[in-house]
This record gives sequence, structure tokens and C-alpha cells, in this order.
Amino acid sequence: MTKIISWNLLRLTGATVNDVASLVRRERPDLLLMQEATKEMDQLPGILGGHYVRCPLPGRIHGLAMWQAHEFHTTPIILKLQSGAMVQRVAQILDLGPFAVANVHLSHGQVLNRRQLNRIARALPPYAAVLGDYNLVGPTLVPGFRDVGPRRFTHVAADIMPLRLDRCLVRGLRCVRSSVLPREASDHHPIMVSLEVVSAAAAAA
Amino acid sequence: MTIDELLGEVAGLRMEALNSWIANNWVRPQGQQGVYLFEAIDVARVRLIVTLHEELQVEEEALPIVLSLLDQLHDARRLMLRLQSAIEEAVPTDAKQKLRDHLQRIIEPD
Repeated sequence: MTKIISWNLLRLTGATVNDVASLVRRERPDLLLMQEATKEMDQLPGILGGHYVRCPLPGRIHGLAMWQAHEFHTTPIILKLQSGAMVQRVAQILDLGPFAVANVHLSHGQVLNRRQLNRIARALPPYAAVLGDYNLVGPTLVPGFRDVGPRRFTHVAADIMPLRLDRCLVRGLRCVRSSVLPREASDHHPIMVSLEVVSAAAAAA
Repeated sequence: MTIDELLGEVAGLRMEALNSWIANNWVRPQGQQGVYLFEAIDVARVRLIVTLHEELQVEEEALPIVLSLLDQLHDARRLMLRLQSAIEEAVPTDAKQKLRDHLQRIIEPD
């Protein structure tokens, strides 16, 4: 079983590197995915040990980052997504061995973010998970994938309207446990999922 | 942006199709036939139609329905932003907290 946490940190004014380190010490995830990670997060392996890679969005001071205690099975790859009006988006894809994980921070446009998801789905192997800040309202309906993230609000827009923006889609995997964690100084709550591969026989049944 | 500039800007866009979209009011540029001027919002609209039709294979017959539903979504979003802004400016802090708690109770996550 693989425990994964995904957290949009809220760049500059949100979660600090010490907040992230505390979360890791408390929750002990196998893999931590971050969105809106700035250069400050590069201190993480110095504080926690482990392995870390950050990929700023083109032209931005923040972007996607991953941390795990063990060495990466392979170097995460960057998938270029369809561009929004303001921000060029990418996905960070890590091959964990049994399955692949995509770390995403999608566009706000409700057609564009679904097109971005479709591109990511096509790029992933049969056993895969997509976690992150989807910026998406309503169902995702990506063929072959199931939404297994916690059915709880993860963000409150303008401090009033509750939304579930942080999600986890899986293909060929089972989610054994999921929860929403305290958000600290960020405007998003982290989400946690524990995933395992479904055997071909179990999937057929 | 003129019609020639738009045709050069948006890959896969054809003059005949664009004229048909304008005639159907799916795209509403300033000016009149022959001297249309396209604002940024018109260009985004044209890109959206090209994406729906060419990439997502939405047929001509279904396009106005999809566009109409998307317009309603955007209108609802604008309205919600105005409502949020009004609440931010006009509602006392304790009432905002009550409203936030109440919304969390009555709305089901997607």
C-alpha cells in the first residue's frame, strides 16, 4: 500500500517549509505531492532527508514538487499541458514501479481543465493515479478513471463558498483509506489517500 | 484584431466556418461584414468553438447547446463572485462565519 499526500501550499503567504516538514513527520507519507511550491521548499530534503524534485510552471515563481523518503524509482517527467490564457501548465509524472502518479495543478477553465486531464490520462500507463489541485467543479468523468479522493471540501472560495478542488483519480488501483487533513496557513487542505494495485483478476471480478 | 489576423492566429480556423458562427451569433465581433474587429473575448470564444468542434468532435447541431450551457456556467460563476464580493463588503464577521458553517452543512461535495 502506498500512502500519498497532495497539498496546494499557497505560494509565498501559505504553508511554510516547516509546516510541510511537520506534516510529513506527523503523517509519514510514502510520497508527498505539492502545488504552488516556491524555492523555499527546496530546503525540504535538508530538513527531512529524502529525495525531492521541483518543477516551476513556465514563467512563474511556483510550481509542482514531489518529496519521498526513498530514492525515486525513475526521474519524474514533465508533461506539457494545453495552455491557459494566463498560465502555461504542466504535469509532473512519477513512475513508482507498480503504478504511476501524476501531480497536477490544472487551469480554472472548466473545458480546458478537462482537456488537460484527458491529455494526462492518455500519457499514463494502465495503473495510475492523478492527484492535485484540479480547479474543477462537478464530476471529472475521465474514461477509465474513478474519483477516490475524500468527499470533503478542501477549499473555501472567497472565505465563503466551500469547494472540493483537490482530488484523486485512479485507474487500476484501489483506495484503501482517504482523508482531508488540517490546512495550516494554506487556503487548501491537504488530501491523503492510501492506494494499492488491483490485481487483474480482482479488476475483472 | 481583424478577421485576417484572427485567421492567422487560430490554427484550424476557416473563413467559411467563422462567417457561419458570426451569422449564428455564436461569435459577436464589433463592426460589420468585411470590417469585423475581434476583442480578446471574441478570440477566446473562437478558440473554444474550434476546440469543441475539431478536438472534442462536438457536432454542429450540438454546438449551440454546449455553448449555451457553458455561457450559463460562466454567468453563474460571475453571479457567485458578485455575491461573494457583496458578502465580503456588507456582512459582519460573525454572520459570515455562520453563513460559511451553514453552507458547509447544506452543500454536498461534488
